[in-house]
This record gives sequence, C-alpha cells and structure tokens, in this order.
Amino acid sequence: MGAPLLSFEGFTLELATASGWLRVLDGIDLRVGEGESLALVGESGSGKTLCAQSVTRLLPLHHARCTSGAVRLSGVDVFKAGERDLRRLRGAVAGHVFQEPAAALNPAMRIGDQVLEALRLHRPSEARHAEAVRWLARVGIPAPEDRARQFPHELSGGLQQRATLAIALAPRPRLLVADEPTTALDVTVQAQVLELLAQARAELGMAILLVTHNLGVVEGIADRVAVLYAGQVVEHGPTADVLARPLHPYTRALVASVPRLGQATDRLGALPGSVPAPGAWPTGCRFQPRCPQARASCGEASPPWNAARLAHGARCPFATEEAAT
Amino acid sequence: MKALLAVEDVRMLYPARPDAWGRPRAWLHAVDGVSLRVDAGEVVGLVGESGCGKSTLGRIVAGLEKPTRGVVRWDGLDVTGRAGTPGLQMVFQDSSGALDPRWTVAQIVAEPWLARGRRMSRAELRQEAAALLAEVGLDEGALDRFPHAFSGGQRQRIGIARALAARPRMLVCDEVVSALDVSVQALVVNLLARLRGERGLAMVFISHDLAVVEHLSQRIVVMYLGRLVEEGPSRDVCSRPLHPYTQALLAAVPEPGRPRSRAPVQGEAPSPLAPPTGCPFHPRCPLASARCRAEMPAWRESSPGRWVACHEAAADVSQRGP
Ligand SMILES: Nc1ncnc2c1ncn2[C@@H]1O[C@H](COP(=O)(O)OP(=O)(O)OP(=O)(O)O)[C@@H](O)[C@H]1O
Ligand SMILES: Nc1ncnc2c1ncn2[C@@H]1O[C@H](COP(=O)(O)OP(=O)(O)OP(=O)(O)O)[C@@H](O)[C@H]1O
Ligand SMILES: [Mg+2]
Ligand SMILES: [Mg+2]
Repeated sequence: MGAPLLSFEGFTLELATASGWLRVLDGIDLRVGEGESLALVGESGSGKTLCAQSVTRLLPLHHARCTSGAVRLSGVDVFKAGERDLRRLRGAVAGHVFQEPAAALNPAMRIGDQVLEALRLHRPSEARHAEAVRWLARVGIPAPEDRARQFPHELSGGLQQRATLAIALAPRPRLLVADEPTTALDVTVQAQVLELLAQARAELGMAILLVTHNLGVVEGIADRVAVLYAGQVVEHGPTADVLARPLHPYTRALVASVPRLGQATDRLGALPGSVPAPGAWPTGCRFQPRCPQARASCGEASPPWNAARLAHGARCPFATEEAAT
Repeated sequence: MKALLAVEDVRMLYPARPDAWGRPRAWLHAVDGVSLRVDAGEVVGLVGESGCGKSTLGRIVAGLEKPTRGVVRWDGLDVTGRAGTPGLQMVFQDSSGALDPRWTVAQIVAEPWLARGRRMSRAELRQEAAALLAEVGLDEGALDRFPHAFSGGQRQRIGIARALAARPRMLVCDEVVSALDVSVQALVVNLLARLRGERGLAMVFISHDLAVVEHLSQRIVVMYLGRLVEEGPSRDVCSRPLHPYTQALLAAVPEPGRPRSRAPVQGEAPSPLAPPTGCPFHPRCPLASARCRAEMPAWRESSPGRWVACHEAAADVSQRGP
C-alpha cells in the first residue's frame, strides 16, 4: 500500500502565546487515503480547527511549531516545507472551507472573481465567468449570475458559507478540508450541500476531512470518525460503529446529548463541565474529571490506546467493559 | 398589554444589478411586509431557509439598519433605524467580525459596565467577568487573551457573555448556537432559558435549528423569501405545522439513527431578486394550485394564535402529515 494522501503521525503542535509556547495538539495519529472521508468531531475547543489548519500549515511558523511527529500531505512534510511548496499544495491538492466564512472571503473582491482566482484564472473572460457561475450554482446558490457580481457583505451567512465551498471545490482538489461547512445552513440546504460533497467524492475521487460538531451530519458522509478531546484523539473507528456502539465515555455522552424534536423540554442534556483549555490539561486521562465512570487509577497515568474492536479503538482502558453494560 | 418590541410592516430592499454607472437595475426584497411583536419576557424563535431575511430582520430590530418602509417600536417609542437602545442587545451570526481584535476578553466583556460609568475595582471587574465567562463554559484563563486565540465556538460564547454583561431586557440572538456542539449548546441554551425565567429576559432567537428553537421559545415565526408564512405557539407549530414549508423543514431535521430525508424541499430555491408570482413558495409546493400561482395568500389567523399564509392550509390539518 502506498503512502496515504494525508497523514498525521504522532503530530504535536505548539502555539506561541504571551507566556511562551503552549501545547495545543498532542500526538495526533490519523490517515486519510485518496477518495476516503474522515470526520473529526468533538466539543468546542477540542482542537478540530487547529488540526484542519495544520493540513496545509495555515498557521504561520513564527506562531506555530511542530515539536514531534509530522503532518504529511501528498508526501510533503508540511511543517518542513517552504512557502512555495505549500502554496502549490493549497487549492490544488487540498482545498479549505473555513469555519468563519466572512473572515475567509476577500471583502473587496466580487464573489465570482474569487472563484476565478481559486482557478488561477486571473484574466476573466466570458467563458471563465460562466465557469465561476456554474460553481456557485452547484453549491446551491440561487440566482448565481447575480451573486457572482456581489461582494461578500451583500450575502447572507449561509450564502457566504456556500461561496467558500465553491471556491474550495472549483480547482477540483484531491482533498477537501471542510471546517464546519454546514453550520450556517438550514436542513434543506444542508442536505443539498452534503449531497454535493458525496457526489464530488464519487465523481472526482475527492477525499474529505470533515470537521463538525454535528453528529447528525457525520452519518452518510464519513467512512470513519475520529473523536477529539483536549488535543488528543480519544476514539477512532468506522462511522456506524462509533455512533451505534461508542467505546469512550466521552463519545457516549456526545451521542446521548443530541437534542431531538419533541423531547421533554425542561433541560437539554448537557455534559457537565467543559473541555479543559490547553495548558490546563489534567494528568492521566484528560476526560477523567468529567467522566461518570472515572476510577481512582484514571488520574494517574495517561491511558494507552485500547484497540478494542476491529479498526475501532479508544483512549480508555475500560472502554469495552463499560460499553457492554 | 403593550408589547416590548413591535415591528410593523417592515420592508427592506437592497439595490442590485448595478448598471455601468452603479445605479441599481433591480431591487432585492430581503424583508417584505413583516410584522412581529415580542412581549416582555417572551422568547420568539425566528426560523427559515438560508437567505430568507432572518439576519436582516434582526439587524432592523436592533436598529443597525433602517428599513425601506415600516416602523420598529420599543416600549411604544419609535426607534426605527436607531442603534444603541438601552436594554436591547444583539449577538451576531459572524462572531469573528463582532469582537474587536485589539481588546482582551476582559476588556470586551467589561465594556458595557464601563460605558455605563459603573465604578468597580480591577479585581471586581475581573471577578465579575470571570463569573460571566464561566456561565458560558469558559475558564478564567480566557480573560487576558485576544479574540484570535480562541476557537470559533469560544468566540461565539464571548459574544454572548458580552451581550449579557449589559443586562439587557431583550436579546436578539442570530444563530448563536449553530457553531456549538450539543453539549456546549445545551449549556448556553439552558443559561438563556434560565435568564428568561429569572430575569424575564425577552429574546428574538434566530436559528435554522428547529429542535433548539422549539426548546427555547414560546412562539415560533417561520419566514420564507422575506415574508412570514407561519406563526404560532412552539409546541403547536412543531407538532402540527400548517404551512407546507414548515412541514418540509420539520421532516428534514437530522438525527443520528434516523436517516435524513435527502431532498426535503423539492425544486430550486427561488431568487429574492425575481420572486415568483402569487405565493412565493408555490414553485416548490406539493399542494400548489392555479390560485397559488396567481394570488399571494393573505396572512390569516387560522385558529386563535395560529397564523398562516397559505391558500391550501385547511382548517383541518390532521389529514396531511409532514
Ligand atoms: N492562538 C492561540 N493561542 C492560544 N490558544 C489557542 C490559540 N488558538 C486556539 N487556541 C486554543 O486551542 C484550543 C483548540 O482550538 P480549536 O480552534 O482547534 O477548537 P475547535 O475544536 O475547532 O473548537 P470549535 O468547535 O469551537 O471551533 C482551544 O481551547 C483554543 O482556545
Ligand atoms: N447589505 C446587503 N446588500 C445587499 N443584499 C443584502 C445585504 N444584506 C443582505 N442581503 C440579501 O438579503 C437577503 C437576506 O439576507 P439575510 O442575511 O437576512 O438572510 P438570513 O435569513 O440571515 O440567511 P442565513 O441563514 O444564510 O444567514 C439575502 O438574499 C442577502 O443576499
Ligand atoms: Mg473550530
Ligand atoms: Mg443570517
């Protein structure tokens, strides 16, 4: 088997802060092959966006460093590569959809021109303009002809989000890194966009790294799911298996807390507490202070990877026992 | 009773398709003839498709934009197009643009206190700011950092903390929980529900997530292409939707374990630049008749408190499930 398209190999990331370097990702091990799709899920602040931004090293080197392991994209070690190599990777090999579309779009450039720029077509002609409009139509933007001539501030949040998707898809990348690509979209448009991603996978053989907090979205689009918690992968396995038979107590809590229509409406099922911030990670298991099944030993040493089932494991030594009960 | 907020027949047109001289050749109807009232302590959920005019209506309510036509009243006073109404705060859909990047989180959260001339020591300020941040699930370490050093969902919560610091009587929340995972979402929604109960905080809660809206609001208003299509008590709207569009929205709510219906609303989303004749939903409506294609349905009260704009929504809806 050849090298995968994208791999995180024990990747550890540190960021520069006022009080020195701060570890934010810790020993991430993940792979995405050509045409495969992997979903990264986890609570707010768990490190999903930082993982996504590391794929083509969108973080500047004076601000971010890889202290051990590596991220490899199409054979290139992105934290060792120069800016020129990275620019070649961005767009053509890996396209990005950013979590905050308004900040990712150029406020002074028309939407259509931004699509053309992604295609590296700098001298717009009629035919090229039509190509840009086609991409806007494909991501489900009504009246694409008019939208192409508008500026980002004239678009609603959901339209902006779809515009960034068009910009990322237009160069037909081998990998789409999509950070919360449907948060601003209502269910009807969301279904349409997910359909489009599935289609792009089937027709272009495009691989997908999907970052999402919405477990409802994961099903049907991702082959595998990785659950992130406090800078670590705590569970990883085939999507259906992870959702139906989660191993880690954290994943079980995530799956259980999805709000449903018509639920008793006194309180939504919140998992008490929140993800500890980088720099405040507890020793031992990082979830142990919030874990309903924590034992004394959980606070002592960092739990090793527990490959409990075929291609499905978790960072919890008691995963299978608890899941069985 | 006098409404805390009353929006009366508001319309917002934006210029579009500029000619060579930059003069508009068409007008985009972002909001068209919308009326809405919110009483003190009441939470009204505003739902609808992407681009249907929710944020525009929110900005009009908050006085950040002056509508082309119509009036916004706060406590009976005309405040149309006037921002900074005391007691009214807005939390924006775009969290990155809403926070000043040069300010620390402590400064951002404390700004409403200092602006109101509250005298407090540095220690007091930090303590109160930290307490507020804790309510939205952020720890004390956040105080001295700048907005860029946070995750998207964390920034969204800083925006909420800042708005709550002003102790508003009403909050306009624009997609404030859509960027949050279920657990943090529950934390924030439970916090807002508690403030509604304890302080009588009123809200216009904009979201495309019907499950959250149903949970938090007493009343739901559904918009389609700049217009209201349905309104009623939350429970009723979610359990017995009258308008075919609301029915489709409900049928498409994704849940783990329940396969998503793939194309919940058939047909292409219409353009607000060229709205269809008659009922704006007719090109995608399974019930559309000749009348729907020709005539705009009136906004009518089908039963007490239940409003709908549809020719076909019969008095008896039980025969037609979503
Ligand atoms: N520049 C920075 N300096 C210090 N800490 C940072 C910086 N950027 C991010 N962090 C912290 O790293 C953690 C992970 O951030 P990340 O943006 O990856 O979260 P996320 O999983 O994408 O969350 P969300 O769902 O809210 O977007 C957060 O606790 C965040 O506060
Ligand atoms: N400043 C503006 N100039 C021109 N058009 C605008 C402007 N602001 C909004 N629009 C248009 O008005 C319509 C309604 O936009 P709005 O942002 O209110 O939608 P929304 O319901 O909030 O959608 P979303 O769920 O995607 O955020 C859209 O077609 C949008 O492009
Ligand atoms: Mg993120
Ligand atoms: Mg909006």
